[in-house]
Amino acid sequence: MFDPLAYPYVRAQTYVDANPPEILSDEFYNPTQDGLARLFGSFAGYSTSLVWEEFEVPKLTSAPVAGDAVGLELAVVSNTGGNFDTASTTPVGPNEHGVLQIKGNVAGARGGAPGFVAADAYRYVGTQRWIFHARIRCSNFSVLSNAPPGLVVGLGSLASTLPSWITDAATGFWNTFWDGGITTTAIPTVDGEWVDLWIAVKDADGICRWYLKRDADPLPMLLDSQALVTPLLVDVRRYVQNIVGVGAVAADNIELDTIAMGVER
Amino acid sequence: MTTVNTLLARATHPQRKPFVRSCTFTDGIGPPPWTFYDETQDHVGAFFGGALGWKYSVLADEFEAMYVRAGYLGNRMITFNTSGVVTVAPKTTGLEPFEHGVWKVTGGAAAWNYAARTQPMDLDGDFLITAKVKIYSRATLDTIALGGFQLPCSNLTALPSPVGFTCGSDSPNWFVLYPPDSTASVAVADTGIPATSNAWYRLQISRVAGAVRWFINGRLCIVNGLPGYYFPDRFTQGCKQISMSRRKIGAAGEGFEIDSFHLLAERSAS
Repeated sequence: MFDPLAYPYVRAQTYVDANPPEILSDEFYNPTQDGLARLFGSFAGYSTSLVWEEFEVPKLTSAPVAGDAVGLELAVVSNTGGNFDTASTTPVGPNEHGVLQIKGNVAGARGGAPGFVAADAYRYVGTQRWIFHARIRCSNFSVLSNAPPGLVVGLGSLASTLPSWITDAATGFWNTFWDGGITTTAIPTVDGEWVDLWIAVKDADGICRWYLKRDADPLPMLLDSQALVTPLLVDVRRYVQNIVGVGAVAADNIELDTIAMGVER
Repeated sequence: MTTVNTLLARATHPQRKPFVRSCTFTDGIGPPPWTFYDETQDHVGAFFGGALGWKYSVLADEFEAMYVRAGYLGNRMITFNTSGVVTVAPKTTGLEPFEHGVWKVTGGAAAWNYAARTQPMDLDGDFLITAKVKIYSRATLDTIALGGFQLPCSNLTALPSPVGFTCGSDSPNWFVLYPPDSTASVAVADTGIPATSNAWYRLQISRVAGAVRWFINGRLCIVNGLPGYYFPDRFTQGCKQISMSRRKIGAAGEGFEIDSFHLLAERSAS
């Protein structure tokens, strides 16, 4: 369950009747048992921790304060000056299944860093396997803060050095971030474009991998693989941060469709 | 035997695999490759995708919480409550067999009109909605035309009109809601299945490859003489919605109970 490019997320093989296939134990029988065990384990509270926030609960427009709910599972960590509003949005395109919009209620930098921060509870992940996924879009990348980066989506703040996706106004591309540095990917940031972002450690080797998929892409693209300097992860959260610069207008926003995480217990 | 239409194997039909066993195996006789191995891969994949927000959405509400947020019915925001007279509370006594976390929605003696729904979502693909509800007094509700009890898959005022369930004081039966076409107002059709007061009903709306089917307590509804209705259109204002009205003076304490309200929805563009 920790590799978005492998079964069960995609088929291991398409079987045909006319040519009886070789049913391989390592591609069907064993991962099917393992996958069902992960699901049942997560529902019964052992072997796996699996949480997903779909933002299905309606939210009227308001400027939330620290501690206020963001969906059902996240909470506001920071809302600088109360200058950010959150609100449910009406779907404007296919595949929008409950979307929360985070925008300004004033023009300008909205108080600067740390801006709007939402996160869920801390986890001790250690060196276990895990997978993070978020579906997000930004209406106007050009108004994001450059220092610090105006959009952080991942496992924690930049100060935590935990693996994340980041971008800003100047780069023009999605960047991966970890405790050893930053990689600028070849995927440009496009205003208003939905992107699915994954980060995962799928193997015992501790290699952290970053995947990205736009709606037109058939599958997630593996864009970066890094050996973490400190592979033992603590204080891990589902984390989103938005900071804008002085050029922002109130309507500039980011939108979240889903944010999920699965961790081996 | 290979299934001709792979779309029919989607995980949104409540009486097919993976909700029920598709066949019972005998040692030494293996399953047909496509109907077991591919379907199993796809169904396990759908669940993993839903859990990580990809390919499917899995939205479950079991009403097990004891805390009631003001203005909400579980994960639904209360969008209409005449004069605020309808109250929402967990059921704490008198639970009956198979009630697993139940909330009560009850009005007073004065007239009332109540509605609650989740955030709008774009239902462009297949889906399965399942709600378990009990109506205290169908006979005193408003008529079907006035929206006595309604459980639609989408905002009733949006187009296309939704598919769903309804009942009211003017008929003893459950009716289905359906859109005659993409631009028409919602229509109703009699299922012939009684809507009995104080009885639990599991209401299910399934869309598989565009074919909508309604189930009441596991029984397939025959709608306009057919076992389903082809309507693949995109519901741009999809949601889990429930509403009830009694716009006249009556007994206090009437309303409904809800045990669960779930939605499995295909994410068509990802």
